[in-house]
Formats: sequence, C-alpha cells, structure tokens
Amino acid sequence: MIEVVNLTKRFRKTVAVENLSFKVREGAVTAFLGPNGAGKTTTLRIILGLVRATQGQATVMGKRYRDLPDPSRKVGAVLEASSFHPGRTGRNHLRTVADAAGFSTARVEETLALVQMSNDAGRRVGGYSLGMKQRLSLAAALLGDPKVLILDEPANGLDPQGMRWLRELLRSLADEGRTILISSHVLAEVEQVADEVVIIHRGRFVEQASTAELFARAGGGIRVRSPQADRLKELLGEAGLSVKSAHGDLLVVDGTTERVGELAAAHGVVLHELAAEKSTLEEAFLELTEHQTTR
Amino acid sequence: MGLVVAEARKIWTSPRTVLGIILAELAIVAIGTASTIDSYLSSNPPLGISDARPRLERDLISVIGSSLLFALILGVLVITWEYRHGTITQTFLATPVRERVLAAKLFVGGLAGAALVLPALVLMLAISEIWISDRLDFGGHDVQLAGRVFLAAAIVAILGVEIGSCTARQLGAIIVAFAWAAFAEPALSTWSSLDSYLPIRAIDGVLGHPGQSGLSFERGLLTIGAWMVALGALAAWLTRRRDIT
Repeated sequence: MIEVVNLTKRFRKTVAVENLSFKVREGAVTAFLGPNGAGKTTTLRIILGLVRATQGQATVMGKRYRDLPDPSRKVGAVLEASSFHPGRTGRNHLRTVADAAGFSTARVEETLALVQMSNDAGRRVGGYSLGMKQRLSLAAALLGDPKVLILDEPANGLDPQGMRWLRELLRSLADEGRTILISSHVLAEVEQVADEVVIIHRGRFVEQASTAELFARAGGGIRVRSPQADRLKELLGEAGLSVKSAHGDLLVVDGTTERVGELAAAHGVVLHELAAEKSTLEEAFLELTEHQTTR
Repeated sequence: MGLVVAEARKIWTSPRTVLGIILAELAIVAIGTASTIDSYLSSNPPLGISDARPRLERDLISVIGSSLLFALILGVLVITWEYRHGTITQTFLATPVRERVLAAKLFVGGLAGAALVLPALVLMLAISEIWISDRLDFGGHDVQLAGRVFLAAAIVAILGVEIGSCTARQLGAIIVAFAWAAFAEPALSTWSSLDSYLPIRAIDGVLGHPGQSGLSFERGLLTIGAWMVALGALAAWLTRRRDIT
C-alpha cells in the first residue's frame, strides 16, 4: 500500500534519510517510530510529495503521490497542527481544502462533527488550543474519506481525554480496513493501536515487526514478591529458572506465572505477589535504538 | 474551477489582512484626490475654463493608480501567507501538481488586484463629486484611462504572485519588489539602452503615460507580458522544486 524503496534525502550536508526501505501493509496500523531527528517527518513528507527525494522513491498504491488521480480521496494526512491562517475560521479552513479537492460543504460539516468540532468551527483558528488544531487537521485529512491515512504526531497537544478519543477514532478507522501510518513519540499511545512497527534511527532502517513480536523480543518477566525471597531464589535456580533481578523481597524471573506459582506452592513458600511483567513498546524501542547507537 | 474558488475563498476569509490593505489604499487615494483638487483649485484661478479640465480629470484618474502598490502587496500575500502560516502544506496535499496551484493563484491574484481599484475609483469619484461636481466632466478617454488602471493593477498583482512564489517569503518578496522599483530599474534605465523595456516603464506604457516610458499601450502590454511569462516560468520552476519542510 505504501512502499519506500532505497530512500535518501540530503539537505545540503545533512543526511536526513539514508537508503531507507520499508512497506506498510494494507489495512494495518503501522507505527513509525524513531528518536527526535531520526528522519520520520522527512520520510512522511517525501511519501506525500512535499519533499523531493535525493535518491530512491516512495509510492502510495503503486504511484507517486503527485501522480495519484484525486489524491485527497485516497490519502489523508496530518502533518503539523500549526498550519492554519490564524484569522480564518476552522470551518473556512476546511472549506478551502474542500473547494480545492472537490468536496461538498455538507462533507465539511460531517467531518467537523466526526472530530467533534462543530461547535467551535465558527471561531478563528488563532484562538484554538493545540488539541483543537489537531482535531481540525484530522478533519482535513478525513474530508475525502481516504483509504490511507498518514499521521505525523497526531497526539501532540491532546489532553488525556483527547488521546483516548484519538485512539478510539484510529481504531475504528483501522477496523474499517484503512491503512494507517502513524509517527509518534508517545509510544504508550501508539502501542495501543499499532499492529506493526517500523523503527528508524539517524535516518536509517532499524526494524520492522509486528508489535506482538517486538513485545516478545523485549521480553518481560515474572514479578514475584515473597518474604522468603532467598529460599524462592534457590528453588528457582534448582528448577532451571533464571532470576533476572532481585531487590529485597522482589524477584524478576524468566518463566511463566504458572511454573513459578506451582513451584512456590509445592515448597510452601509464601507469595505476596505474582504477576507477568508486561514489556512495553518503549522498552523494545529503546533497546533497539540503543543497540543502533552503540554500533 | 474548484481550485480557483479555493484561492478566492482564501482571500475573502482573511478579512483583517484584506481590510487593512483596502483601508491603507483608501487613505492614500483620499489624500491624493484632495491634494490634486486643492492644487488644481489654487493653481487655476479661472475655474471653468474648458481647456483646463482634461488635465484635472486625467490627474484624478492617475490618483487611483496608487492602487497598483496595494495590488502588488496583495499579489505577494496571496502566495506568501501560505508559506508564512504553513497552509501551503495543505494546499499542495490537495493539489500536488503545484503548477496548477500557481496558475489558480495567478488568476485569482490578478482578479483581486483589479478589484482593488474599484473602491479607490469610487472614493475618488465621491470626493470629486462632493468638492467640485460642477467642474468635472469625465469623458470616454477618462473611462479608457481608468480601464487601463484596472488592467495594470491586475498585471502588477500577477507580478506580485510571481515574485512571492520565487521568494516564498512575505517580507523578502516585498523588499525585492521595492528594491527593484527604487534602485534596480532606475539604475538600469540610466545605464542600459533597453530602458524602455524594463517592467515599470512597460507598465507606464499600459497606463497611458507614453511620455515617461516611450512605449505605446500595445508595446507596453507586450513588454510587460514578456516579463510576466519569464517571471512566471521561474516561479513555476522554483515552486516545483521547493521542499515543503
């Protein structure tokens, strides 16, 4: 659906993206991750035809964005929340986009309702909060009811309620079969909606995998708290389960809750806590990018 | 057509900027009209002498020529406010073939520039009517001169859009335009034998000031047309290649 092949972009002496290749699967939510300055925004802008690649190419539905017939009906994009004329109302901003792309005024109102901005659309954008600007950007992206959405940091400026709203909106859009490529540094938000992850660092490809695969690779552990931590540690060692860390009465163990629980029960060891420690996308991300940094 | 409507909507939904331009224009025209009439009254005691009239009417039409300055600024703004506020991103996402956006802006900018002459004309006529209505007699030639001001304003606004497209910066474009008018063209006209083919001289020809430019209306139009095509080609090339970061 979206394909980036050997993409390189140099801004004079600065290499923003270097020989980057990845594919975004149709109908999936793909998180596009990387530290600040990794080249995420530049890559998204190249995909959208806003920045010219020095080498390589990026296509959407097999074509360069510029060559897509009726692109606003195929691809919607949110790139930055501050791209508005401050003296124009939210509704008029959307109307200018709708006029250019050939959408009706009724569609403008529908989209405003979808992003819960109908009541504020008559106000000048200069008076909007960052969160409201984000919603308006999303409205512009959704005007054409596109099959592909490309979102650069869409959660920026949203309060917790706004983040939940965004998460639910993205999930419902993905459930309708849309392809979504979303860059974000709020990894906790992304991990709740992403099916796949593409990680870049210093403009280079690092990893592409499903989120489940990344979680598994980051490897959590079993968190066990016991007043007999030393005894339990011995038993775990004898059972071939390694203890990753031990602090006072708390142990983090490689294994499953079932094995650790049964082992403790069999030897009469009292447990105060037994839980699978869930690894996060952030941990996986940090591990992969730190690994890249040290290379 | 949708693109033209979108560009027109961008102008009329930026009321503060447009209103600011119109108010500044009207202030200049009001001052210009008043001083033209006052100067005429004080330097022509025998009012009513028929052969003195055409000069006053021509001078009053010339006053609305000050609209050209504001047409240039509006033309520059039509494109540069998109870069300044970042809305150019949305514009190029909706219409990724950038030359189409530029063409729509040139068309709408030209129309808006010409339209800017209308309030100036109305104000000039209103002041003249109130002050010396019985001594004025605008004729067919004056209508023709006024028509040339509308045409020149459209041309200047188009040049503004082109300069703005080349620089992509509001202040930069205005500085370039004024530096050209104040320094470059006067310097070139004293140095070069091609002085009649410089853009401001060509616009003088279009306005019907052949004494200043040495160009007839037709040659002036042809000359400024060539400048518009050349600058438009440069603007299109730069717009196509520019990274929107």
